[in-house]
Amino acid sequence: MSDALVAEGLTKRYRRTFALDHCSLAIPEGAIVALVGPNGAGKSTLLHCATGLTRPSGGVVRVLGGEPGDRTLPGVGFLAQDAPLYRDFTADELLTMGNGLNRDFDVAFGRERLPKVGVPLDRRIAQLSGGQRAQVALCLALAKRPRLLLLDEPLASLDPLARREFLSTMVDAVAETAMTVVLSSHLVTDLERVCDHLLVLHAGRVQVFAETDQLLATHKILIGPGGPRRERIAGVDDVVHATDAQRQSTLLVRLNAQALEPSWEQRAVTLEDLVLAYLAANVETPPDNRT
Amino acid sequence: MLAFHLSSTSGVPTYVQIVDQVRQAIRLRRLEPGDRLPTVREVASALAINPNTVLKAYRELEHERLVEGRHGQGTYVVGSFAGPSPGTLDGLRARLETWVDRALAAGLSPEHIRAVVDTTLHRLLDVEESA
Amino acid sequence: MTWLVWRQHRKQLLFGVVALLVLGVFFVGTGGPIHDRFERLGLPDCLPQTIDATVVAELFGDAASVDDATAAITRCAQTARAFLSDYQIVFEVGGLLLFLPMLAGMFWGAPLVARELEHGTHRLVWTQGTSRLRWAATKIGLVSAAVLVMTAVFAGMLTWWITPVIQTSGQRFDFGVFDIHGIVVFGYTIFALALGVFAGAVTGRLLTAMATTAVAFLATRLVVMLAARPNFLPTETVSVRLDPARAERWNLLHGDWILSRQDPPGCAKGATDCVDTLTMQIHPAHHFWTFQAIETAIFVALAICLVLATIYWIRRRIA
Repeated sequence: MSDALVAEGLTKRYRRTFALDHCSLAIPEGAIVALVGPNGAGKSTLLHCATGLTRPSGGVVRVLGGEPGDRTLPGVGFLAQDAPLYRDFTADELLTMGNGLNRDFDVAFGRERLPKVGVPLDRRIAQLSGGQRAQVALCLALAKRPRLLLLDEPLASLDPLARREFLSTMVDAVAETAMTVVLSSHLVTDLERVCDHLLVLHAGRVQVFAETDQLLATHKILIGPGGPRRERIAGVDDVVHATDAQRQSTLLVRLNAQALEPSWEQRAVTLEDLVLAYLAANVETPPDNRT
Repeated sequence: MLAFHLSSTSGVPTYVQIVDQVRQAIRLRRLEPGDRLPTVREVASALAINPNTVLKAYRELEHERLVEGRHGQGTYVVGSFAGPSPGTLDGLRARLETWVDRALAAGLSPEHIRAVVDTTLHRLLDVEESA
Repeated sequence: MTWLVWRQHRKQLLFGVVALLVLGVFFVGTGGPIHDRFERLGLPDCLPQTIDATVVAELFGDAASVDDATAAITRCAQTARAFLSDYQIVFEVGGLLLFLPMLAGMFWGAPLVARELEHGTHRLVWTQGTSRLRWAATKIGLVSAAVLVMTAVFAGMLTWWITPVIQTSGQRFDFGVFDIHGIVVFGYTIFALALGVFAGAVTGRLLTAMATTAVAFLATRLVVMLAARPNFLPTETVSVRLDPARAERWNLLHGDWILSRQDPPGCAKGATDCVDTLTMQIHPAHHFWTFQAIETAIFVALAICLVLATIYWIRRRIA
């Protein structure tokens, strides 16, 4: 199985800041990836590099085996942040536009799908609600029949019902075509049930990228007596993040194959715990190896 | 058609919830052998969850010999639970509803009712199990 | 892609057509009477005669002919002067029309790319299956073609409207007159359009682009008009036996462009009826169309450079 999106040492500089800092990752085909990180972490930049909207300063990025841009865009569906659409067009006119700009475009799909999710085809985009606009933008991307779908914070300004309907449309398309999806948000709770991979970005760097099932199985929260000094704990490969209070320490750890030290109280992690821990872990480590 | 309901706060993995609900439906005779389960696509889309999660649940149910996947046609219920007839079940359910109505009429709050039910069940079923 | 350009710009096109209709009504409504008067006063006939008679008489100092010629000239000149003073407004309106190309650049050129960048829709339209090159070339090409057609209609109407006055005044080369006559308006319009598109692509903001377009357009026009135009071709030196006081009339009747002149030393300033050799550096009247072609070519070349720069910017720099 090949990779839908590969990055090696991907870097993007703007004057003094690194929007992306030597990112390396390989997203397998069929994965549904939650791309999580705080504002300014580089999520949009990563997606823009993959679609050819941004040219990297260094490193390499490949989508569907090719260079981002004209050659690979027919297979890539993209929904930019805030779902930009031509406000005075109707949904039907946007579908016509998509048909004219793409060689393989399924206009019938859009014309059938949108009324089913409550979007009238002949009303101007400016008169639609945020949730309806998101559905139109998603439909435009899906009508290309893409193999890779990239969504930049699509749920950000949607109410819970609209969020649910958006994800429902997306999942329906995934179930039909087994496409790869990368879905960014700064809230992981939105994406927990849909995504099977987690990619955490912070300050332009990849903090963690793995299957969610694997992450949940190999990490635990340990609670024990307070004190900053800690010897190696049996069963723990690495302490991802530690919170030390006077009488109690809470650790989020990655396990190894050995049996876990029984004196610590154990608790299962949630994805949100993992994200927060890996984001905080970055702050503690000093920046290094920046060539 | 079977409709699923997921609880995000229970801490139970999603696929386990689906397995439980299918099992429950079979137990309560809402699903009979020969009935077709909704497709993976339908369930995933309706609940807005990863299709693989639904696949995992269906595979688990297959493992338990409760359902069978027929290639190209869907997933069908093949198992059942030995248990009381639907008539018995309906009768029991009706009497429970009567009791709840009476409790409400007596002025018990929903939480109070639940507490009474829980403690009674604990007492009776734990005793049953250890007997 | 064609449909998309049409759909995005159809309001602008409608606006242009309506503006042309309004101008058309104005031109035809006011131009009809001007043309009628021009004909009835016999100006089309007497003006050419006047030129020939003057040249002959004053070059060869033929006294008798001068008298006859002078009488005819005086009559014609008086008629012409009266006609011109009645329709001075043509010059004033013409002055306003000088700014139309700039408006085309501001309202049709600047929004072309700037509006996409400002609203973020470039992230929608550049991630479909069409290259940025094709997008830019089609958009700029189709909009330019439409604008050129509208300019042609406008130029045709305008030329018809001002011809009587220009013919009477003979001032084809004058600043402000040269610029609304002939084919230069095509050059100005396509330049303004290219300038607007470029400013929009580089600044990414509509209002900034519109302001930049206006300023850059006016600056370029002024530089070309004042500094370059007098030097398009080398001047010719003409020496005439002429009353220096009538040097102006030479310009008026010939349509030449007098750049400088050296008054004969013999004629004291203010002295009347002093005929002596007057030397002038001129651009002769028959160079008018050559000058028009050169100025149009300059602006078209500038426009092409700007379009190429825009396409480069869109493809490589917006990233």
